[in-house]
Amino acid sequence: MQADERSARGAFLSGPLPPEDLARLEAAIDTGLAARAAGHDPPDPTAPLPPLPDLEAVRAALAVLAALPEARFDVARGGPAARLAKRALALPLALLGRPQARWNAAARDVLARALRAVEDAMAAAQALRDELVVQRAALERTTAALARLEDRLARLEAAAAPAGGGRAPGAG
Amino acid sequence: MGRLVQVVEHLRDADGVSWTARRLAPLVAALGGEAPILVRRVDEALRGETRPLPASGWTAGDVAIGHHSGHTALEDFVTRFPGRIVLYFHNVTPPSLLTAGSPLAEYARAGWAQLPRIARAAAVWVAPSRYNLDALAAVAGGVRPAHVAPPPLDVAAVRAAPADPHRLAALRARGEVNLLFVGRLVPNKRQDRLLDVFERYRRIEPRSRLHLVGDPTIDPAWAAALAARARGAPVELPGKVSDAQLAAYHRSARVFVCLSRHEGLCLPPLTAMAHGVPVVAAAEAALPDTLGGGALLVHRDDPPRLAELIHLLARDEALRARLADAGRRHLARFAPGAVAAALRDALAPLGFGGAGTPPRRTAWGG
Repeated sequence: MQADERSARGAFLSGPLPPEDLARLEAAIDTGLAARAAGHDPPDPTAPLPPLPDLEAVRAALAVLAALPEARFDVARGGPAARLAKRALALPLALLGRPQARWNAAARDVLARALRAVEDAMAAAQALRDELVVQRAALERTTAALARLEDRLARLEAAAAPAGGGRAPGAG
Repeated sequence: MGRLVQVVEHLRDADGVSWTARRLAPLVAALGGEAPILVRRVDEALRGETRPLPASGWTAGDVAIGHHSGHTALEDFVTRFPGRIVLYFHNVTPPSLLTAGSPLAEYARAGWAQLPRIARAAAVWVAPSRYNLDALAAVAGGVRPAHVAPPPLDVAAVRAAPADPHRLAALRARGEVNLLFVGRLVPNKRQDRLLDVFERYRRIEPRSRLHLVGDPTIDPAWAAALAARARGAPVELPGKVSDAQLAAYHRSARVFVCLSRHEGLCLPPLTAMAHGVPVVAAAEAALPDTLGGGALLVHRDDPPRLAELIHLLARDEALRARLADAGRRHLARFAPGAVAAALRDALAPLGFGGAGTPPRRTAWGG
């Protein structure tokens, strides 16, 4: 018996198909399992949409960064001698810190541009979400229309079919 | 010539043994027997198809076809019958596959205990599958002339049966993939494993629903456990359903899945085949014999693989069409003509159905 032979060979499947077709079916099962193991499950169309990230915290952090004063001595505070000493120490600090200041400005600029790019991407995502909501609503309407048509079809079939016999086993 | 009758202890609505006896009744009548089934008890809706089983009045020329599927109160009738007994063995579920200590397990255990005595009292063994005859030979301690004669299944009648339009519309309304199993809610049917498989399948096809149709009153604890697992999931347990509702389930089903561990025949997947629904079943007990020619059989308990197979079956129209064709070809062995010939082979040596046997007029359906 074909089923016994396939079972003896360790096959998962047997049935009324040629061996090469059963082998193809088993290969398709393997492919599906591998795809799902790799995380390629199709998304659930009924699941709620994931929330978009909130960028307010990022904007606030960037604003703080932009307003950050340069690291200098406060020459407005202290006595005359202290203020003089601070001015003297601030001179080399200003000279030596200029490259760092330029780097900081460039980093702030890059961060601001990245933020604008993320904001643009989020605007695009919002547009896609809006479109998805429209499409889901259209799908719901189509499904309801299909149900009405199938209901009519069932009624027509019931009206056309002859009376049946006793209840089938297993149902009760 | 003596009488040829069928004997069923309790003829029930929506019960495989009773359904088989009722479908065999016209064929028995055509072989010179009596269409009404002799019973001790009968569900009211079927009373017109029966007569009370008389305790006496039998002769050595009489033949009684006795149906066995578990403990029976008819053992005395069988062993003292002066004529010849034809044992129609539906098989008995092994108690180890049922809830320990449950009434159903006790019914099965007692049925197995009786079986050798009843088998030895019979002159001929008949069963719906070769698997059942092998099981019978293994416990009987002897052999008898043995024949496979399954209940007849008229594909055209099954397909023409009306479906409940409201249930059908509801089943189709969501646009989901409907998976179906039909069978009473008991452990050997493995609805629990079906839930495991469905959990995997839902990850592949979220828009899907599993329908477990069948009587929940046989093993209430098992049914309650299934209901608890189904809660919150797209799993329906509609309980008993009418013929028209069952037809609606079949017409809306994408795949029929049967993971039962023990069956002597299993009519519901054959009915699904008649509706053109692809069937996938566990290669257990009689299922390879009774379904193998028209269904895909799985040889390992592997829910992820089975879920992938169901996914392929639900989507691949060419594969579905090939399996529907195979199912229709397979059901030819259940055609009324084929079953009548098998039954004639079994009963001819007992004087029924051979050349010259006049068919009797029947009280119903014959």
